[in-house]
Amino acid sequence: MIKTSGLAKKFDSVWAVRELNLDIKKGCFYCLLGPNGAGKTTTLRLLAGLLKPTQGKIYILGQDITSSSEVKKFIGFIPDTPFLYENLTIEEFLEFAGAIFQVEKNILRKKIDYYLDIFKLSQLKNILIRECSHGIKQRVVYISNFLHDPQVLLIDEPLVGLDPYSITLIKRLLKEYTHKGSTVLMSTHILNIAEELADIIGIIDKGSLISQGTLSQLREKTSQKSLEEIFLKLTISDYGNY
Amino acid sequence: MEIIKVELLSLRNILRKYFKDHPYRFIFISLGLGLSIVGIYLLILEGFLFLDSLGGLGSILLKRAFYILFLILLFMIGMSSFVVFYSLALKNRETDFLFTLPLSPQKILNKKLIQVFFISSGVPYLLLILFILIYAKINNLGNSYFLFSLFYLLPFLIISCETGVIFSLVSLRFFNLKKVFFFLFLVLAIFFLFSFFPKPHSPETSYFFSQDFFLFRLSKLWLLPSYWIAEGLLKLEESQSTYSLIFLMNLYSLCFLLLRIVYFLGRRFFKEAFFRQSIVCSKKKISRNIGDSLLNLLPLPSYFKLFLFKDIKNFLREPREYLQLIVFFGILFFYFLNLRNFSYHFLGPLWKYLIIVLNTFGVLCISSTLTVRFVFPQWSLEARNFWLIKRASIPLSKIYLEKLLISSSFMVISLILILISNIILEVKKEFFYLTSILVSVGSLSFCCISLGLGAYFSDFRRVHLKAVESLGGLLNLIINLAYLTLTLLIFFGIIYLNLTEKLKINIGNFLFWGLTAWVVFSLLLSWGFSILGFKKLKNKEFA
Repeated sequence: MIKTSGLAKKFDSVWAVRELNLDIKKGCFYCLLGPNGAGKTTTLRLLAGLLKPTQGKIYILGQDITSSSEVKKFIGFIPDTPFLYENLTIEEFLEFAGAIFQVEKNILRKKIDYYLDIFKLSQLKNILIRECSHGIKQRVVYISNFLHDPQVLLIDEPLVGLDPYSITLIKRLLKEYTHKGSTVLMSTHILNIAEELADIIGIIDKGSLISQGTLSQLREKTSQKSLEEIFLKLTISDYGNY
Repeated sequence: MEIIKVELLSLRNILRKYFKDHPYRFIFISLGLGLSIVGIYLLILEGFLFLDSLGGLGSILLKRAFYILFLILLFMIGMSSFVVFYSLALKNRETDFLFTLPLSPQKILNKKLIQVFFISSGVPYLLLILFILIYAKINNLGNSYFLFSLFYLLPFLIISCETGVIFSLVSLRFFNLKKVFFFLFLVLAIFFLFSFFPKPHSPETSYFFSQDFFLFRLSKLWLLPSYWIAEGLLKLEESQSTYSLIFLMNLYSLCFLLLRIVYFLGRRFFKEAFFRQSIVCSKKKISRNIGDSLLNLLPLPSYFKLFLFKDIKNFLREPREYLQLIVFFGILFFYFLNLRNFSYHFLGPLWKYLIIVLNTFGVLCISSTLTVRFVFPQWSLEARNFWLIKRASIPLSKIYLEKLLISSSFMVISLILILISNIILEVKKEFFYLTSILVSVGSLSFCCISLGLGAYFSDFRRVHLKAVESLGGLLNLIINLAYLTLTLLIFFGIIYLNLTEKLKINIGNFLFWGLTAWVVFSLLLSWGFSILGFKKLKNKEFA
């Protein structure tokens, strides 16, 4: 589903991502962990086609993301600071998002009603987005990305500003997605989310993927028990004295 | 289609919401807009009637006005499109979002082009309609002339926009923006210096009006589309339909040709240019430079220097900020280029006087615009950093003073401009002092009014550019214009009456006492707005 080979991105003299080789299979929940400035957001933006790789290739569903905009129909992207049309109502924005991804009108209507209902936004659907709180905006972004049933979902820092109910709901929906065969690639700082949801965990530092595998594989590699210890051992060079 | 519909829906929602929340304010603003259009109509009409009353000279000027107007519009709309396209299409979070959607770059470019066209040429289009309407009325050309001329205006405005967009796409794809502007600035500066020295004089006023101006000569360049539209409209007036039609066809051909070029460049460069300018691409290592060291040498308190550093760097590192300043100075560049060629000494006292008034009006207008655009949003610019300022051990009054002093740089710019203009025109001593004092005190007042109102209406939840569009920004503009009109009316109105011998007073006494009273009034006004803003800011909580 997601494949990169020798992917690298350089900003002026700084390599944000270098030699990244990913091969994420269908139905996999992949969590990308890394300290601040490790290159997680850059990786996701490269995968979403928002940045041009300095080197390497990106294939999503077998198509090169840098040359085809058609493949984006099957991708959902939730950035850390999402953009919304602030002067549209929640419902108008969702209709727009569905129409852009060419979701059939009847199905779109049903999906909007369904997601508004489970995200507890039905009462607020006619409110302008600019008047919504950060948490509500975040929920709208999730719904807009669920409407077209993306086969690949890229999420950058997924749970910022959400209440416990929304967090539980999103965790459940994301898990359901992977069970249906979609692939989720998520970057996060919250280790217990990764521990709970991820099939594969990749740890990135200074732009390079320093380790990846299932939680048990990482435990074996590092001889550490918790993900926190694994993460610290891999990302801090003098971990023993830490 | 959906991405265009979004904009229309947004506009409808904004108007609906505004009408629902503030019905009286909505009606007031709508009425204000309507009355402003009527006011502009009457103003242009008065100008035309005045020129018409001059007879032969007026007739020459009226015709020349066409060429110059379209040349200036070509330049201004082109520059505006460059800046608008840069900020709307390349340095914009919406574009970022649109690129994540299954839309081809072509579709995104289409949307951005439409937006650029409406934003850059909407107001000029309205003004041109008024201009042509009045021109047709004055010359008894009938409604058909007015209706036909609308077909000329559309391709011309599209050409102007396309020029800006092409320039933007090519320069942003291939060059570093800072280097482009530095290079342009250098070329213009050298051009200005060289064209400054020769000072041709021609003995006849009519010859001078037809040939002497650099802008007149430039506007008559037959290669420029501004010449085609002016010539086309004038030929239409003279009932030379064939010639007029040729110019119209020229305009449409160029319009479509440029559109093809925009699409060609868009296909090749739009995505590339976007990647280069992408917001997240700004991981540049910025080292301390010679400017920092020079600023450090200034004998100022350390807190003052810190804020000075911050404000200057924020300004210089944000192309949207300095690009707008360049547009203002671009207009002034053309103005001064003409001024040095101006055979002012051949004109009668009333003409000389009119030019002094126009210069002062122009400089004060620019000062007023600059303060509304750059000084008013100073506090909102702090936005989420305001909590830091409020928590700092430095008194708020000192920070207020720092902002006022930085803002006063506009006063220095205005003063330099009026001094240059006065020196070039060799104006009489009393007018030299009068205009210099009016401009320097007036600019200082604009700064104080804008900073005070900016503090009063500061909204820390909004980005600073949005702050200019708020009620506070509108009020700031109205107060500045009222102050400007009052100032000009008092001084130049009375001097005009005196020159035309409709009012007999001792002009020396009037200037002395009038200026003193006006300076006191201006300082009180400045102090009042500063105190108002400061008090409000002091009690303001971080939101």
